[in-house]
Amino acid sequence: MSGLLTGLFEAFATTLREMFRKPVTIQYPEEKKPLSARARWRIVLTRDPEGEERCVACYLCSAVCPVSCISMQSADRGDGRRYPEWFRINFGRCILCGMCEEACPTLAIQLTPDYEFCKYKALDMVYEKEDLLIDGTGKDREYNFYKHAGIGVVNPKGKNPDEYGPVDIRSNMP
Amino acid sequence: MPKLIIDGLEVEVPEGTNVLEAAKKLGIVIPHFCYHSAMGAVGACRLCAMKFVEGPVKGVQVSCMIKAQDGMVVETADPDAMRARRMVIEWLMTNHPHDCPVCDEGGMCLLQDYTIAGGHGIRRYKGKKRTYISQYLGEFIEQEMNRCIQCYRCHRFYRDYAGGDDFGTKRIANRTFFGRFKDGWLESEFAGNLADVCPTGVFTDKTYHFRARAWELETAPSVCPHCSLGCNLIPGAKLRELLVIKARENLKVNGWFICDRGRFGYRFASRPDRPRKFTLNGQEKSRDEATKAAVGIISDAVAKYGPGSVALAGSPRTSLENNFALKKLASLLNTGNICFSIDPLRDRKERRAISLLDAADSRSLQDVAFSDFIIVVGTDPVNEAPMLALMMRQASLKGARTAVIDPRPVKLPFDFTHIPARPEEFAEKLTGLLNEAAGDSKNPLIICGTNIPGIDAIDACSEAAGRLNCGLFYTLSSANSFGAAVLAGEGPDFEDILSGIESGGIRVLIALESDPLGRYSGEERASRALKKLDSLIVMDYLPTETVNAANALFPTAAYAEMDGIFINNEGRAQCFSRAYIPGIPVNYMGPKLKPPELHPPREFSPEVPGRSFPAWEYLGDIAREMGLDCCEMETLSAIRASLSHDPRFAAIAGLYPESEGALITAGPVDRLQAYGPFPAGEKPDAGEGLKPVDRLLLYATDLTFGTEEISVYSDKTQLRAPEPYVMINREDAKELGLNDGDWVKVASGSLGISCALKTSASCAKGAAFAPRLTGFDAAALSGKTIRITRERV
Repeated sequence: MSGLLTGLFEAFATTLREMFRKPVTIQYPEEKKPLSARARWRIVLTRDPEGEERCVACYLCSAVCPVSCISMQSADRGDGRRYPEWFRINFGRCILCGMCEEACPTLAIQLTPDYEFCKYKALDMVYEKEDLLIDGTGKDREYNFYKHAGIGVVNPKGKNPDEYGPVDIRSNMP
Repeated sequence: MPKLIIDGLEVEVPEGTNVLEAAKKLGIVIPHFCYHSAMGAVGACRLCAMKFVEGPVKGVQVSCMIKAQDGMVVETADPDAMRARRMVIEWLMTNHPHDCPVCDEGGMCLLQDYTIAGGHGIRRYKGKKRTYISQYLGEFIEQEMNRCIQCYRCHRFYRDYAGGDDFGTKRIANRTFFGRFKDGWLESEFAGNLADVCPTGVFTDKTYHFRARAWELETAPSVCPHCSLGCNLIPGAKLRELLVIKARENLKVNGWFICDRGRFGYRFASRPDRPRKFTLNGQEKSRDEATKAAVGIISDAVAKYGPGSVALAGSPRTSLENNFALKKLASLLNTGNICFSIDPLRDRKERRAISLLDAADSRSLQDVAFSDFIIVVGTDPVNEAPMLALMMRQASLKGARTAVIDPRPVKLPFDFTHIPARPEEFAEKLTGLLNEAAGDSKNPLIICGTNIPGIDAIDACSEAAGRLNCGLFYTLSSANSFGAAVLAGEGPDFEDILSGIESGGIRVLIALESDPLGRYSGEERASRALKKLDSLIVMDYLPTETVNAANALFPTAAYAEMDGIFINNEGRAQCFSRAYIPGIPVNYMGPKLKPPELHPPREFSPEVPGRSFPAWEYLGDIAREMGLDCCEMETLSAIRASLSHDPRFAAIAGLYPESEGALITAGPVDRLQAYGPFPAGEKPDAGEGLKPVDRLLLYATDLTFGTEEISVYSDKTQLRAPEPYVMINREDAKELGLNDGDWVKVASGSLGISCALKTSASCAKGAAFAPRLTGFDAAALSGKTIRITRERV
């Protein structure tokens, strides 16, 4: 019997004590919690330092995506540069796992701290390239894939810093 | 037969097999680049190292260079061998660029796979990389020389296997370069195989440039529709668009390779103007409405004029099942007016040729490579059946002699004797050659065409083959010519149907994947006749002239979009499977926003937009709708079961995709004895009193690119189609006072064409040749005597 009574009064005591504590609830959306430095949410496509699209439509992000929410069509831009003709992410399906960012060899696809992109209609969660492409370089300001690739798109062949000049195929001199 | 032990497993292999191949036989695959079953070993890449523990050789050795011998004990996973492989792959990778994301080979690259398999993950070499300037090699093959690992496969394929001479190796050691002397199209008809043999991304398919990754392609085992040899393919499609063709191995037919017509002729399937809608007199209809309309048309004609007023034209380019369903419909309708080719002359010759083939003298395409004396009668292998030329070259490399009796200046990628003779002289020349061959050759082979030779030459070849016990190989016109000819049997040909239409007896024509308006050799006659019809029902997947003239149009599925059977020229029935569901490609559907952004539509539906079906489904629908007993055409398996009740087709019962195929023999067709080399009424006038050069006989010929019915709808192969020309003997030209390159008028009666003149010293006298190019009506003059006069422009 005494056990029952203690239980009852302990509960009242807890309630009474908590009534005068500072509440932990924050008034979202008026009030926002600071995110951790590594928070990863909405996906963007970035540009290289020269302002060109970084994405080369290599399909690695769509291949690695565990929920298959990324699709695209690669094409030649006309100057030998590979780019996505269209690029589509279905955020209704995306689980924000970040594997696409890890797979991306050109640092084009990056996850941002923006988590507030709810929509009323499911189709509005399907983002096209126009919606994804941003103007900046994102996390790495220096990297330009084509300057390291070893093919002549940005710099002529043999003119990148880690290359010898092209072989002269008409001579047999060493 | 040496016996050896690899990784503790005993294996017995034929004499001369190398250890790498012996290990493969056990299912142990060791990374290797330069070794290829077709081209042998050169030991250039040094990657296939194994440890030889016991036997005649000891230590870590390159296994492709060592022949299997008795008593060998080999370890593939020995630490020394593994270390050697890891070092070699690291060394091969030192100069390799960092461009896998933008390389078309990525995802199907042997270098990627074997780098990982060899145990090399992180680059240690920090020095600079070697670079090359790549060459422009035409619109079929893209070169990116920086990726090269110097395995010499391209050189060995192009020069040694395929006999090309405009591509080769330059420089030495670390600066070795593979390419042409200067930029320009690769001339070989087999250049596309460089994309398949190259283990990395130096040579890639330019028509597939940046379009997809290997892992997203929908593929299936398939058979080439572009000539009668039936080479095995793997078509790859993505988002309902056919994007790439790769060769598939079949050691009875094409071996490992295919020709460029087979590889790059696929682009007909995704043409924007391909028929995708069911239409009735130009109005779009649903499938049901179109079927009902067709049934209305057919029943009206049957009710008014009797069943004989309906005619059906099948096609040698569609599957056996489609043609069989058409034949079934004809027999249900009780009409005998059915043919399976719109080229009556060729149809008769092909029916004759296949009736002469039997299991004893028929030879497969691979058997050609093992012949020791080859006589070619009236066929130009590179142009009519390209892979045949490649197989003949393999025979020639083994020491076979080749003689070509043909009026054209034939080109082949090896040395041979050319005997320029007109078709009427074929039989005589053949006898002469056989007297020479019968003596010392063990495995002689006669190859005979069905375009230029007459029935007499076709018979003479078969008779000679039977007498001398040598092989017989006819080249036919299309992928399923054999099957179409067997089904046609002793039935009428298109000539009979055309006269039926002209006399008013036939009022309705059902054209199944055939194009009488565009491909019949007298186009004007066909268009005049077809206008007399009450209705024209067309089922096709190509935007042909007949499709444009159709009253009722059913869009059908092409070969990569359905299951079916083609029977090749030797009677080998081969299955092909559906790679993808046909419909309007997703990339053609999107709203074009502000360029260059475009994306597929954002609306979704469970239906495939613009979906087409195999023609046998439509024919079954028509039969069902008419209340006929259609149980034998309901499903593909029902059609095949019904087909295999015919003893000639019994072999297809056990057929499955990726098999080597099953041999069909046709049996004799007697009625065709009656036909001479020319269709009745079109025998060339003797032209008495005229000089021989004023009555040249014109033959319409085929070319590798630009004349074959399906590939002419492919924009990329059309780039290699030549300008129209007529070719005659140089001395004939001199007698006419004409020079090479003159613009001439070629006339026969009221018909005439204008084109450039080509002359050749190795062309038979008294004959003229013009290719069957689109928009160039050479076929109308075929088999007619012509006059060539200079035309002043």
